[in-house]
Amino acid sequence: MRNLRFLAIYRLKYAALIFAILPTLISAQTKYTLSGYVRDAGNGEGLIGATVYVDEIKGGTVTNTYGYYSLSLPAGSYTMTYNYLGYTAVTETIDLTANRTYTLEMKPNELLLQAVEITSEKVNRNVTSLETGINRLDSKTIRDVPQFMGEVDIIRTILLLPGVSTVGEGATGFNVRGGNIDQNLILLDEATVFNSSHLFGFFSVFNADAVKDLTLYRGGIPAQYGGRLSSVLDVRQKEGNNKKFGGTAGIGLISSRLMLEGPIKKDKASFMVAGRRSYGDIFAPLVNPDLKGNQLFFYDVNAKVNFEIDSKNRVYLAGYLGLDKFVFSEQFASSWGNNTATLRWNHLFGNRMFSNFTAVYSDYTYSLGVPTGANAFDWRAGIRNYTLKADFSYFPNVRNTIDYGVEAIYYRFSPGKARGIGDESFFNEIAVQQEFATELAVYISNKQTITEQLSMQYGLRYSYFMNVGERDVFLYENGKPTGDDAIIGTRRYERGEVIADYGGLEPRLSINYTLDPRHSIKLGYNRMRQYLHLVSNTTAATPLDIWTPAGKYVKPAIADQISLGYFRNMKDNMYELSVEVYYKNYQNLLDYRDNAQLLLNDNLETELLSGKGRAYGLEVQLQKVKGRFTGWVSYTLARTEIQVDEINLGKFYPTNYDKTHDVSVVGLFRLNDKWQFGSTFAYMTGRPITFPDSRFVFENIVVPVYNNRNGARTPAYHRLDLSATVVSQKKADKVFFFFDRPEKWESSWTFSLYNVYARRNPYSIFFRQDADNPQQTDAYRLSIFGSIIPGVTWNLNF
Amino acid sequence: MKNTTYKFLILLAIASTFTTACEDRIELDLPKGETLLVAQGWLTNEDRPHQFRLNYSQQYFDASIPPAVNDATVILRDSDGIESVLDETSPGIYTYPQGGEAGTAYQVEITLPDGKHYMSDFEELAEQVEIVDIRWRISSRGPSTLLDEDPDQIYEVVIDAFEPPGVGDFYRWRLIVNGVEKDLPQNLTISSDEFVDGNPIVNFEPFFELFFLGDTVTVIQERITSEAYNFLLLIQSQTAFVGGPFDTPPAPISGNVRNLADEKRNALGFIGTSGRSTATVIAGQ
Repeated sequence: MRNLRFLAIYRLKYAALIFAILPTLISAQTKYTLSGYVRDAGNGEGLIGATVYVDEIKGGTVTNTYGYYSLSLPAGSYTMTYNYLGYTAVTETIDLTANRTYTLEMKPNELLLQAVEITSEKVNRNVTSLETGINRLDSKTIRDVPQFMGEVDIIRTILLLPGVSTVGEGATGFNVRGGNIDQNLILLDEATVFNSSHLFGFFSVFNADAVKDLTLYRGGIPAQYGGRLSSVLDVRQKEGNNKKFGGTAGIGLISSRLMLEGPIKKDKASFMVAGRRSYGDIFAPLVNPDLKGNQLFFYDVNAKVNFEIDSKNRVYLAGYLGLDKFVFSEQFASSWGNNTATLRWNHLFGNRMFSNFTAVYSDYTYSLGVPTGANAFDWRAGIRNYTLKADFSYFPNVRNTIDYGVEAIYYRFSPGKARGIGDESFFNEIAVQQEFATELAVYISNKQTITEQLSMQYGLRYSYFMNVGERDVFLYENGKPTGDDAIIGTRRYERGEVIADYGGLEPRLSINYTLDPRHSIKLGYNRMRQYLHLVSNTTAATPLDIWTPAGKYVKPAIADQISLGYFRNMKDNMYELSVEVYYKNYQNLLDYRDNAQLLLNDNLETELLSGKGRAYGLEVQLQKVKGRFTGWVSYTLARTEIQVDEINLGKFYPTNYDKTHDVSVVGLFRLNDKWQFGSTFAYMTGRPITFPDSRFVFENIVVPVYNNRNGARTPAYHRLDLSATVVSQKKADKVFFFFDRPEKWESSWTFSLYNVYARRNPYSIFFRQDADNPQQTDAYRLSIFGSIIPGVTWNLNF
Repeated sequence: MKNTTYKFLILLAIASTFTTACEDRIELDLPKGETLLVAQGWLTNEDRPHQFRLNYSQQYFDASIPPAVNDATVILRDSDGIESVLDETSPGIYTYPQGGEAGTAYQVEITLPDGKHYMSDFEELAEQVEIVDIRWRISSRGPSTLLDEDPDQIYEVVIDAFEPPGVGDFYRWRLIVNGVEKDLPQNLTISSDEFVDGNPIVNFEPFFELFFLGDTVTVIQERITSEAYNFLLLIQSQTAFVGGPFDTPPAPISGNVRNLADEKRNALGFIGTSGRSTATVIAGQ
């Protein structure tokens, strides 16, 4: 074991050495570099993924997550076209006789979204980009899709994308291409978000007002990301308008929100701060007086400042604070929430190397307890991590972009500590030992344009994980944690001493073959390693579920995914079609023994099982991106199965979230400047569920006998939502009835209907004996929503 | 504490279904499972006859009385090797005329008329833990505004006990109100001593049940084995705590009565032992 660890460290050092000498190897060329930022003219926000096209070389580049681009070209005069969807394209002639910077501010083109035939440029990024299985959404699209109770919600919106599904209405998280919810790396300004839900899953933690852009990677995941098997959801918060002060506000049925942004120093420094709080607890007692004294609310605060020190240095500080609180009179109280902080420094080494140094703190904590009385107690658990990262992008020439970097994460897992509180309580203190771990990674990848038709991105990531002391670890007979009775002793590990370590290479590959500007074929492969697992065996994850690291008895999970896609744009890029197939193979997936006890369990490993999995599917999406009518249709045909020796006699069985068919239809229609309409329709095959095949009566309790796990399915799920937004632009209009609206303020009302035809969609089917006639047993369908749910929101932009 | 966890999950379910969640009874075709022997019964320290029941499992929607197993040979054996053949005192009911002794382990051997042969695991009868005191108190909970109830007449019942030192004790409480045992799934109440080991247990309210003036409330505190506790925990999670978004996947519940010839066809149910202590109070008096 010691030798292995030495080898791993040796490899890390070796890799670091390559990174250090790499730039000097490649930069020995005589070309000039054109570099700079592409930003929004209205608020100075960097535009992510804007294309920079050089006519003369029939090629170009794309801005990175900070809006930065760099191109190295031989001296000469070039016709450059800057393009970003929804913005007016800009064409410039640039004489390149020396290294120069050119920062461009692009204007949003309202017309583009309204008229059919406007753009002269072919926006065919969908076809030409290397990425497969990727979706990028800006906050506008997210806002326009009809929402549940009028609350704009990122996670609900991505559920409408192909390959993304959920176990049920109001369930925490999302499933991507057969991945469990813990297989998604969710990043908010590079900080890991461990629980993406408010209110058990009805709303997401992302306040759409504070979000600038999000990217979901389902396949072809670039080498810079790692640590989760199935997807990356990279959410970037707004940087704040560095030109003028402004904001948005909204009042809805569920929550109210306010976002303010503005320059601290014009064009140099800006801030953004956003807050949101729900108020169900305030109104619920008015409807039902029995609910008085109960609290059920969430809030979150997003804040970000950035400062451009000079043209080569910019620093950002971003933070998020969220909390759900739930008090059930004096009998019960619980709260949970994420906190994150990100400090980031962008630095340009010359014109050709962009660097980003990041320090991140992220924490998820929950507590619950009974506040008073004889069984008063308090229970806390959580996970915390600290991350240090350095990412570099090197632009040696126009055909290559090399990304490389290093990352180190330190984790502290607190699986739970419970103690009695107050004088009356008869509870003792129980603490499950904390666990500590370090995850290290280095990566390098190159994006290369080989010919006009063929481009590829190939990369390699090496990750290494150490579960470390201090901690006592149970020892089991034959080294197998089969149960409490197999414990033969404990071994004490000192602080920092390695308990178990794992590591390995993660190759990544994306290939694009562009047949012509309208269609292309893409191939993606990625291997991912995941060293943390969310321990949860309930239908929907609860806020109480804990994360546990790989260790002496739990191996890290590995997934290999291969995907092949056909991309085609039609009618002058008005329609985008993508057809993708994928196959995924999983190793060391976590499952649970029948009837496992997972909470406050000091020898959790005895309840865990390891299995293998496979997931495969077909995804089709047809999107209309321009015109008054926009939207998409997506269809997913998929299968996800797992095989564990101890369950279902070792046969493959479908996972809880296996959905054979999943259809989403999104239609957005802009009638005129005043009215806009949205609709979504979703259809999903029912989820796998276990039915009893017989019963027995124990004392007077009728007990169902279950044998075939996930052998049946709930009926299908389908739902239609509608929304209408009206922008009242009359000058005399008063803002929310109170005061005259200043000229530049714009207010709007959004009305929404969720579950229009009031279908009682099955969440689960369960079995119960009749309370009055105990011999009688029945099947029941649980629907989270039994009727149509209206929503109304008032929004203000200023 | 484990049952407190579950209570929390129920509350979560309530909260998350705050507004419009609903359940509907539905018709369903279910797979038809095999018929298996169901064996159950408890031997306690009380000096009275004890009954062991044998019957068969049924299809899930079959609401008839479970068919009794007649003419079986049932032997109760203790850890000293002393055997007693039990009489079938009524169809499917096999009776042992007396109580058991703390510190002694017991098992039951069953031979069906068709020759199938079963044996329960030895279960040691635990020393009872006395209920030191039982009291009523006026409840601060409720009354529900939906019911026209007088808050002065709503009572809770609490008990005191001393939990013996040493982790690894398991308890079950039974509730008898005016002579009728509350025996629905939601009345099943069990706990381990993991979080209360060795503590004086004061003002413990085993049931979140409310009582009216004059109700005769009997609480039976049973000390059971860890195997019995685990069995009951599963029964509870698959019968009382169902129908929420946070249900755990249902799975087979294995009891402690083994089929000696075919381990895939063990009997369902449990044959256990318990050390009992009983206390009664009349609410409001």
